[in-house]
Amino acid sequence: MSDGTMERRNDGSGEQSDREIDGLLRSHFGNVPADVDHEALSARIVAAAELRLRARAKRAGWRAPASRWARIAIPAGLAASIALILGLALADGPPGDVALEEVVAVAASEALPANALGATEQEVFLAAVLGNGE
Amino acid sequence: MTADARLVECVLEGDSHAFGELVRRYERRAFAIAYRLLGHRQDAEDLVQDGFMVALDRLERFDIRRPFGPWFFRILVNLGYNMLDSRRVRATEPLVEGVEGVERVEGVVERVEREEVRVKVNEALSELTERQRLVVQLHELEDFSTREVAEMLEIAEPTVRWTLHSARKRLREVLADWKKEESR
Repeated sequence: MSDGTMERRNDGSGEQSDREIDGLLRSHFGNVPADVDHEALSARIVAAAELRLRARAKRAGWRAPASRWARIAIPAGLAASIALILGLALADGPPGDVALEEVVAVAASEALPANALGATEQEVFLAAVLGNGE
Repeated sequence: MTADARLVECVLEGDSHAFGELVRRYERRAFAIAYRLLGHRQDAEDLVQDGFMVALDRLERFDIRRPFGPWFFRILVNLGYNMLDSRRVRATEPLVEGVEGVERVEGVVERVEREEVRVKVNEALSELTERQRLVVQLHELEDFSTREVAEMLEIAEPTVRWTLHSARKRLREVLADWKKEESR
């Protein structure tokens, strides 16, 4: 596991010196107690976590179906949104321009009398839109 | 998906058997870290338990694509430092005096026990900061790799290597001085 041992082998100080240094370090810092009951400690930790785990299991009870549903619904919703945006973008001409053209056409047809009196196209259009052309 | 990742997913659903397995996998190494950090057996056991509780509370934040060990040990070390701050426990004090759980190494230790050398070693190692001492202990005595130590202490791996190199160099000097004096 130790990858820092390379330094020890390459520094030329020799194995004897390394062992002595290991001994110095161990003597200074001591060892981790060997007689710890790790099984008991593990059991104690699991017991202490029982309430938390139960709460998790309870939450997971409703979260799991919701999560499964979300896994399908979110991508599907996203795909539908993208399709809708693409559909609108690929439609013939922007919808605003079409509406303006229609308004101008209607205004032109209804404003003929005014035009005949020498009104400009802009005046005809405004008269049609505002309803003052008649 | 790794075995740890599968266990974590089960624990997220509240599976106590999976949690028990996760605890069994990491408890021993966690205890070694905690003991090296706090220098006290009971405190170390408490820290390991607290570490697992905090890890359980934060499990949603764990990225299951990454290994569980370094993430958990980082939590443990940070908690340990908080514990040290709050309890004002000095990590190395009890160990220097050779209290509970300290096993002496035969041969080298017999010589080291000469007061003069022991004082020099203590002086040399006391030049290290608390964190540097922990680096030395975790790598040299507990066989954590330099990368593992770097991850759990949230420092750069070259810094870990430099700390280890400095500590060994200093101890080598102490050893050389002592041998020189002994040969006179």
